Amino acid sequence: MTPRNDWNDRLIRLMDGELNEAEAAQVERELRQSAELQQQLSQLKEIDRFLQRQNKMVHPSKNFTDQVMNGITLPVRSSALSPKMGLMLLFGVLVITMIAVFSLRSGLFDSMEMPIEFNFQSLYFQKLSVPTLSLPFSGKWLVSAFLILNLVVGFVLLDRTILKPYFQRRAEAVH
Amino acid sequence: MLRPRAVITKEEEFALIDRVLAGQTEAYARLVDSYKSYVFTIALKVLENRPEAEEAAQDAFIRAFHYLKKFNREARFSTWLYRITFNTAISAKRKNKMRLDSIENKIILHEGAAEDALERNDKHEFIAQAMEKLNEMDKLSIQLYYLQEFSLEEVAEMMGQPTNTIKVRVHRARIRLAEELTKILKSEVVNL
Repeated sequence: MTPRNDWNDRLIRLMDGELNEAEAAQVERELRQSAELQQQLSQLKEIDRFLQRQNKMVHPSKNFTDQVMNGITLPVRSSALSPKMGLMLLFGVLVITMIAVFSLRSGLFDSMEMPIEFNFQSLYFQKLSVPTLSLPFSGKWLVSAFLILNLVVGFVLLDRTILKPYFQRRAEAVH
Repeated sequence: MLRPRAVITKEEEFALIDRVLAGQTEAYARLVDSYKSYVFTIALKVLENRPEAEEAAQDAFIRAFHYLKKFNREARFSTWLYRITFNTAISAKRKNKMRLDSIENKIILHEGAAEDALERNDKHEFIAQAMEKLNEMDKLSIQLYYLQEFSLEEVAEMMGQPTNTIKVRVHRARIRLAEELTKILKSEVVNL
């Protein structure tokens, strides 16, 4: 703390009556001898006056209570999705799932099976013997993984837009 | 600092809460009427924008209504409500930071400023400038503390911080204000 701020600290505590008798007497003695300290104290008092004067209670609009009372009768929105939007998304997820299942069953992806080979030899390791990396790729697996992910998204949507609001309403009706 | 008494007693608060929980929703209007100015003032201190503060204050009352069953009655309803208000206003402020500030809606620090404009001297203008240099939590601590309606304990409770922390924040903010004011006054003298 700078000497000036150290004095500000002591002067604030003097104003708030937080100094003991000996400390207060010493600060008052210093105050009598220093015009600069007196000016510092008057500045602190001015700040106090400003804060007290400016921080007044303010009142909201006249229809505030009515608006709150109207607001409490509206159902609580438990998710960011509106039920309409949620149902539309759920419908979209179901259509995509059905297309994926139909494609799988019709054998559309059966022919999409091949190994993917990574040959680094020709790129960077011309003087070294590097084995070729080969990974099996299956279109059926890929579509199956997509299908599972789609079902998870569908379940989350079902929960947020239908199940959760339904059980919340039921719980509120019981109380 | 002398603090005025709350508008309704603790017993009245609890009686009203019992009625609301028993299904007499209209009893909540009495609680709203009793605390709307306090709640609005807190929201305005945080948001510094009247329409946004009004919306946040309404949200706070609506939230409090929906969570009324969870209010454990260890503290006063008002203290619990102020905490909800503070959190709602802080969340609104974070959301609103993404948007551009509207010049027409932005109030300059204090609601009473307009009526006091004529009698406000230059020094008070400089103190208002110095206030802007404080960090957000220090500024809110000092503004809420100087509202005579709230005790130090209530300010601490609503800001979710220990009483001593708020006391230190207020003290530090006063020192910082004095320091900033000195700097501003010096620069004004140089500019003259």
